[in-house]
Amino acid sequence: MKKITLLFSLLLILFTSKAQTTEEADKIIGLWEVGSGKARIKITKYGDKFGGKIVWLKEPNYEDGTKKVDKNNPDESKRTNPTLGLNNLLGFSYKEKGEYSGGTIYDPENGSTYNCVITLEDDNTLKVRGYIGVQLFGRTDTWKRVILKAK
Amino acid sequence: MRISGFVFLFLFSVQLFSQQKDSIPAEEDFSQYADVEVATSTIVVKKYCSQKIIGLSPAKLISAGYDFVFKNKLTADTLGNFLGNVDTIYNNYGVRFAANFPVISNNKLILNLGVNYLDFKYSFERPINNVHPLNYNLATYGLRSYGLNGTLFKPLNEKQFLIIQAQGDWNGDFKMNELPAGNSLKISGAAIYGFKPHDRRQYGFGVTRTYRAGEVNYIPVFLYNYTFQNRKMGFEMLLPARANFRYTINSRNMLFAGFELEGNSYFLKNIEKNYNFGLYNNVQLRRSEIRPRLTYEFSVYKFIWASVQVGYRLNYRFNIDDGEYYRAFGDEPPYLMNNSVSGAPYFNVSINLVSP
Repeated sequence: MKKITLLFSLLLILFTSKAQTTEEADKIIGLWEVGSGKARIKITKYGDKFGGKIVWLKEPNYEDGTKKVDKNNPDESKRTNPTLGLNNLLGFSYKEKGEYSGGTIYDPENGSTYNCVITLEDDNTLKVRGYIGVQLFGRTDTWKRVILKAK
Repeated sequence: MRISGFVFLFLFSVQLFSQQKDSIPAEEDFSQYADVEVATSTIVVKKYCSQKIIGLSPAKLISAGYDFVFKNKLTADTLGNFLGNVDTIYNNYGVRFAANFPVISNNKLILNLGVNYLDFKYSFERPINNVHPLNYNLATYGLRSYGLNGTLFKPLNEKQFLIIQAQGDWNGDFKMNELPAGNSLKISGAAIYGFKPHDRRQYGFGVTRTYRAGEVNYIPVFLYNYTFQNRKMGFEMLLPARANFRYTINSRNMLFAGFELEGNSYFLKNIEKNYNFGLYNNVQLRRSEIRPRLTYEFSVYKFIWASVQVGYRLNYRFNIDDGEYYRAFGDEPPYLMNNSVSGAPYFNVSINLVSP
């Protein structure tokens, strides 16, 4: 009986700890506006990873009125895909202390994919650093959480 | 055994609950994301303009290149007992290396620190013994530059920005393993106040202290970067240093037509020895050339880009001073030697790591 109690206690600790980590990690989920205010990214969880897609653009159309597409994508077959709805953050795992790494960020303006590390500065602020190879060769953007207005 | 089975079931159920789809779910009505409010935060984030415009050619983080100028002539001036003469140079060649590290790069500030190196060799047609000491010196030692630079981009708001740039170059006829002399250090810099009315245009006005015309000058500068509405063409200018018309074949292939004013001042310590007059103690070669050119830049693999450039080298200045002078207007005081090099075709190839 003692053994069963001990086992249950251990499992409870394990489960609580996992739940806390999951809760902490899930803080990134939501709607974020990039530093320039020209796009909004919706970050969600898929499997055990986090990713994001472009859900709003300040200028969703080209000057001629046509909708923006992913025309700089190195994969020719994707160049007619709309920019709105594009998965531009992929493969992020939560490490610790608000840091998400191992993912990539895609810039539809030039068709380049960069390594990326995201840090949750506070519950409503993200530091997103895209870089090449080593973090020294990169740039950090600050994103703000935005909330849908109640209808 | 019963316990093990229970544990397995428990863990399996935990795993089952934590499983989700392995791809980002498809979406939805995007119009719902238009009407939002910013969540409150202890961190205040102001919106700033970015350093780039849409379609701008990628900045080079690391660059290694080779420069080759075809046959040309050097006309050296008379000095003392050495009569002026004209000598044929088979070719000039040299390597160029530059690296820029964005040590700070965020919404509010971008600070790049860089190093650069270039050398410029002279291969003369006839033997260089008993010829004019300038020719002897160039053929024997060539010209070499080491540089350190820093560029600060400070956005002030969504439409305005400041650029401050400073550079120190050690230029002269020193050898690779030699410490450059103090007289070889040339300090240049620029400050620009700029505007970015929209994502396809930025411009700015400023002043610069520059050696691009060979000797020190204080002149106004004008920055202008623009991408046409069709995003296929544009201009990239920092006048009077350089200007390019850009044609974007696609985001990984770009063509440029333009020019660059290239130059610096070189401390020639060896020419002093060759003269052996003891009269000159700060011989400075004012080298400046204009290079009209065509450039093709393309991505070789991801962020590794190559550049192939062909053009014509036009001499602007190749004079020699004894000492440092600032000539705001005209040619006073006179140069120690009024030399020139003839125009010649050239090419430059480089391999580059470009910036995000």
